[in-house]
Amino acid sequence: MIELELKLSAEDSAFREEVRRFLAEKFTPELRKETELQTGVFADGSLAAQWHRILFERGWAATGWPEEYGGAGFTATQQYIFNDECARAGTPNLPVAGVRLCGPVLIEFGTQEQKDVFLPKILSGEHVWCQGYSEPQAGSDLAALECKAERDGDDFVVNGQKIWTTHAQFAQWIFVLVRTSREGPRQAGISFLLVPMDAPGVTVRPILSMSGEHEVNEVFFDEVRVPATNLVGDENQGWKVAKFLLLNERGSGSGAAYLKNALGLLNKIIAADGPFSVAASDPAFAGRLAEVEIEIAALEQSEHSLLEAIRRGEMARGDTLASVHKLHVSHIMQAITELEVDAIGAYAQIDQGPVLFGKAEASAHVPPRAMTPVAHYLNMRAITIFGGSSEIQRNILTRTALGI
Amino acid sequence: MADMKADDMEQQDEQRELLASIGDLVERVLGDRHDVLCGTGFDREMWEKLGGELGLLAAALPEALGGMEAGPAAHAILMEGFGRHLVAQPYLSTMVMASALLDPADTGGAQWLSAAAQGEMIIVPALADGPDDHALQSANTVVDMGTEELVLRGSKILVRDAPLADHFVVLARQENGESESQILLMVAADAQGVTREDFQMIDGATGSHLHFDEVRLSRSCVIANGEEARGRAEQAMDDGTVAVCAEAVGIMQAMLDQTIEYTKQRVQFGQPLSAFQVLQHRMVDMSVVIEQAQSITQLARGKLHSWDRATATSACMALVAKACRRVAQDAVQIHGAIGIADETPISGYFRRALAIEKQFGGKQFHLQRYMKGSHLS
Repeated sequence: MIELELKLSAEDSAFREEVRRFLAEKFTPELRKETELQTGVFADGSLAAQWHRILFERGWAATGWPEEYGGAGFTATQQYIFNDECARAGTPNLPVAGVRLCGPVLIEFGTQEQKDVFLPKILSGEHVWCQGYSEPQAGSDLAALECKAERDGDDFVVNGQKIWTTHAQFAQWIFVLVRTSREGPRQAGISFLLVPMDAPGVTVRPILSMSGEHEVNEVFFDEVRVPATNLVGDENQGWKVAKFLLLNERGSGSGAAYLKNALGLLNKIIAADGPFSVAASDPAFAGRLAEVEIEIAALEQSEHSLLEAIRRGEMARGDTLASVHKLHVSHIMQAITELEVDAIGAYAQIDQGPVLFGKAEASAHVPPRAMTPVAHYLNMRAITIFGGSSEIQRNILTRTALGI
Repeated sequence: MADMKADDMEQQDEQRELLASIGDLVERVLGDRHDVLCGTGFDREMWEKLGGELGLLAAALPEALGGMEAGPAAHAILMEGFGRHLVAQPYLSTMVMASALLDPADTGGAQWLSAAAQGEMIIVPALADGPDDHALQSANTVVDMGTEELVLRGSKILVRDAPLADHFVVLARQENGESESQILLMVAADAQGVTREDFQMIDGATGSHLHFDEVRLSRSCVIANGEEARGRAEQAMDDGTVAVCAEAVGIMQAMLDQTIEYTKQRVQFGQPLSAFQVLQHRMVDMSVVIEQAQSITQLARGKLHSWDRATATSACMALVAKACRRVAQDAVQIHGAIGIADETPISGYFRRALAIEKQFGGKQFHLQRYMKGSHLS
């Protein structure tokens, strides 16, 4: 792997040292061990809550928020350093709905009261959030959504369904895109509404992914009443809010470190003293691994260049690069998970789901390093689908990069 | 750890402006120069104008040699520009590689370089004995060291730009009894005993097999000896590899631009091709591949004087070779039948992209070299 050095000011170098000291102290071997067994897109509920709490206590739960809202107030460079160091250390991949998605939306569009009520609880972890965007008939075509909210006095009454809702089973709150009008273009009749998960009429039904893991759900709304003060932005102006959020959802800007961490786990699987070292000595396998490494290096350089452009105040290519980077990260991640599966060979046939997801004890006749690859491979099929599928990213890039 | 101070940043901003102005100049000058600087149609007067009059060739050189002091990044800007306009030219040989082979601190070296930068002299490196001599062993090029003069014999196979050369920089092996070492020599193209078998390259450039039959050289022809000679030759090969990758980026960008433009013009089934999603996505994939090539080239350029130069260079070429093939094939495919016609510009770019893939060893060679460097094999 080529080591690429980020040019840093003395202050930023000192900051990086501070982050490293923090991680060395707080990301304990026990936490690491548990994190290495994670196969989902995000760390599971209790691990995520535990790590979030540690970050919160340090004042680093929300690195992108301004300080006045309790955020860390990091600069773009500091955020990159922080995400980079966390990914290198291999810390749990935290769910994004609260801190990364809902928080910035409330800061940008929320009322003072909404900010006062919700932001501190997102920060502390008291409220876990989930994202109510997709519906059975509105996936990539998000504006086709039908889940509706009708005004009734001071309340909205919500009826309909959301799907693929990550961590709804842990959440206290959900933000939903609801249809509040059928007049004019579809996008002009959408609103952004905050709904408590314990409101009467909200039902969660789990969807197991093909690995057997429970990350996503269906959420049903049956005559659910929420006060109109839970509306974020103006009624029927939700599309603007939705798009703002989607841009935040696309990539943290440190995809290379995230991928290097996955590569690190792959290297443990094929370690010379382990049972799967034979894979690494196969020239074809080594060649694929080398190509992945090279693509990660190119991505890292691209991230550094983007960061420098941001530092100079040039954001022109930022939106385009968010889509480009999502395509790179998702494609490389899937290539890594394929290598994982290929490395363990025939062991890929054994279902490790019951062990990984807490329903059975680990079995002695499966090497420990063979536990995670298949679930990781299966779960990571989602990475080219969620947050705007690869095809949607290509539609965006047709406009922004090709100018068609 | 690299600390960056405020004045460094200011210097960087100045550098960026300088490079941008070089880029503008390239665009202005090269607009339609393709036919005059290409291969057999190479126009020496035009080349001298690019050097002496416009000062473009010297951009990367220190001020003392009449340059703009813009460093290796200027090579990249120029090469990218040459690529965009499909100008097959000896810049790679006579400026990029010669700069690594000659020492500007040395009087002779400074004179050679500044003559090359003026466009008055074209210097062509002949380092590898042939396409398989990646290790630069000089097995077939031997020099006898006399007290008064040196005698060179042997051959160099497949030397790009050789027919344009006034001088060759030849890497040879010297035998002193038991021990062996290498030497870099400046050999005049018209020296007695130097013969060429010339040929046309697929991309419009020219090349030759060079033969040295008892070529007598004076002591002053020695550029460097031993480890120094080898070190410079290796540096020149990697500098050349990364520079040609920058050219590839320009070529691929031009191919994509032309392809987008073509799909906007061409109507089938009652609509422009650009309205078909299958073609839109294919072109997006081209742009994504180009972005990757651009990034890895930038990375490798930053590593040219670092301990991991070889690994980074090979990472770069392995990825760029793959990108060249992908982008060039897609560009022709999306053009349809007109894409395979010789007169369509895209076919010229396609041929140059193919040559670039092979110029410094292909994808497989560089992937292997990368893996050796990063302990993957």
